[in-house]
Amino acid sequence: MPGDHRRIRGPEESQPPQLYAADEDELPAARDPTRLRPVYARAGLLSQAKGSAYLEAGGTKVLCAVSGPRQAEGGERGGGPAGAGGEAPAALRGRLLCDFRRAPFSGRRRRAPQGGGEERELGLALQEALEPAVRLGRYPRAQLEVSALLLEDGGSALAAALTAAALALADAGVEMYDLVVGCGLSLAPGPSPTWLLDPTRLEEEHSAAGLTVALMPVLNQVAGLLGSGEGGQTESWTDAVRLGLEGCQRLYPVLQQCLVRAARRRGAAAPS
Amino acid sequence: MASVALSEAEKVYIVHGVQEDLRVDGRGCEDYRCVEVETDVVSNTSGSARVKLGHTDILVGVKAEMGTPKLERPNEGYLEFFVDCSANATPEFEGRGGDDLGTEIANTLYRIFNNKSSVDLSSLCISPREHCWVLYVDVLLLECGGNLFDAISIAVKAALFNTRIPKVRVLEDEEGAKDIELSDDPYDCIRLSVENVPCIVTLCKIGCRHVVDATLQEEACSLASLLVSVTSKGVVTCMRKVGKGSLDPESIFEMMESSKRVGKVLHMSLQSILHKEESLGPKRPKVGFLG
Repeated sequence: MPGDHRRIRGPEESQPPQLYAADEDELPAARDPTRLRPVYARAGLLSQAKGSAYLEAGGTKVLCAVSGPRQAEGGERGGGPAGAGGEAPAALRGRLLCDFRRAPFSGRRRRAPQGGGEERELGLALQEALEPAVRLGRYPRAQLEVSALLLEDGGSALAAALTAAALALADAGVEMYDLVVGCGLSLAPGPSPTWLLDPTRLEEEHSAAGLTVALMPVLNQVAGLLGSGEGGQTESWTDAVRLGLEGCQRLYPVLQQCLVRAARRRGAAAPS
Repeated sequence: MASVALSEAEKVYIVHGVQEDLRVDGRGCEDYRCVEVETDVVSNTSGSARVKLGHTDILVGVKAEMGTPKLERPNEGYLEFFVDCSANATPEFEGRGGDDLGTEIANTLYRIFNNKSSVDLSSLCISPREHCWVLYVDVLLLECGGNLFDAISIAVKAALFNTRIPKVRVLEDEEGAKDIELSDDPYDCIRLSVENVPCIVTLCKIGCRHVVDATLQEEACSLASLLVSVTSKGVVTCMRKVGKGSLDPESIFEMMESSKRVGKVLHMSLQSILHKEESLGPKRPKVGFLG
């Protein structure tokens, strides 16, 4: 939006003063590469959404809400051929629309919510990771809307959003094959690069590469994978994926307990 | 992506064939279709390339313009990608239909170039904090015949190889006013080194095996693919799972090994053909769109 120059006498674009300050010498402290930060998860907290979940891992706080199933927009599509797995025809399958948003105060610099770019890419990554888990064939001509809101970015934001979205879908009672658990990794540069599990924001900023893995723990299938950077040879990335999958398996019991507690709470609150 | 209607029988035929390492057009699982690459097809650009991979047709134009460096990186230029899915490719792209696919491809391109070693960005700097070269890479999708990402990355690499950025000098007056002077000789230009520019290898999972360079029909049979961006030295810069299915961890590791092998061969052949084309000189017969 163009600035109002008559009333607000100031530059059109402003930057925080930290950019002009001397470089901070804060390097991330050395730590066990396989440690996972303690996770707090709670499902069923928003009254207006069909299902919702809040996940906190270290400094990362994500809130996710699911609404639907409601009638799919996009008009008629003729009956197409059946899918490869003998499921409902492509046009009759439900749709999953995922939206990933960062709150403007979630990072170090204020970011106005932009239309395209990173948020669209992460929304697509969410959709690609959640689709294998949801039984969309059971929701013909319907769409499920998942919206993830990142309140504070403390590292591995996409992984936390994935986990929160899967919890919210389960809380909404959507039929799923399995939960999806996400885990973030980053490559600490240096003479001997090591992959760190569940990095903090500082570690991510100083990293040479980043990777997010999404796993369906019971079926042991990788639902999503997104990584980029100077990660080195394929062996290095293979190790990273293995480490990430292990981290996802370790996180699974916490999420199970969270869903059980939410179900108990719902059972206690319902009028008998 | 363009969709093609396949019957169950055709799908079964393709899947069974892939099990035996025999695809519909006779290729093996790790073979590419015949690729045609031609550079310098558009005269108004700093560099351009056209790639034809089976029925997939991509045209890339690179324009070098002067801009201001980004705040966090004052000594470097940068690249901006834009992908346009033309309505010629498939009727689904008419109007705003191709926008989603275009942003997805552009975001993937940003991701694969988002590291220090792919392109030497410091060579694009003219004067720190004030002027730098911005390379606007515009990709035009003319025809969609499967395996878009691979073809686009090959075309981007060829176009960057062909890019000629004019040499400029910054002259400073006594008062400190800076003036930019373009060199008089039109052939006096800087070239980019594309040694470390990665290429994308898409591996589609069909049945229990994976195939490289899938046609539209094969993509319709595959539920999940792995997109790996690999340089000529085998360094992986981006990895992404595409599609609505899931992948077994063991098959991911197999696919990554394949992508390294296939990527090396792809880079070697692309480098040799680009050098061969360049050695033909400016008088070579241009094929363009008529061949």
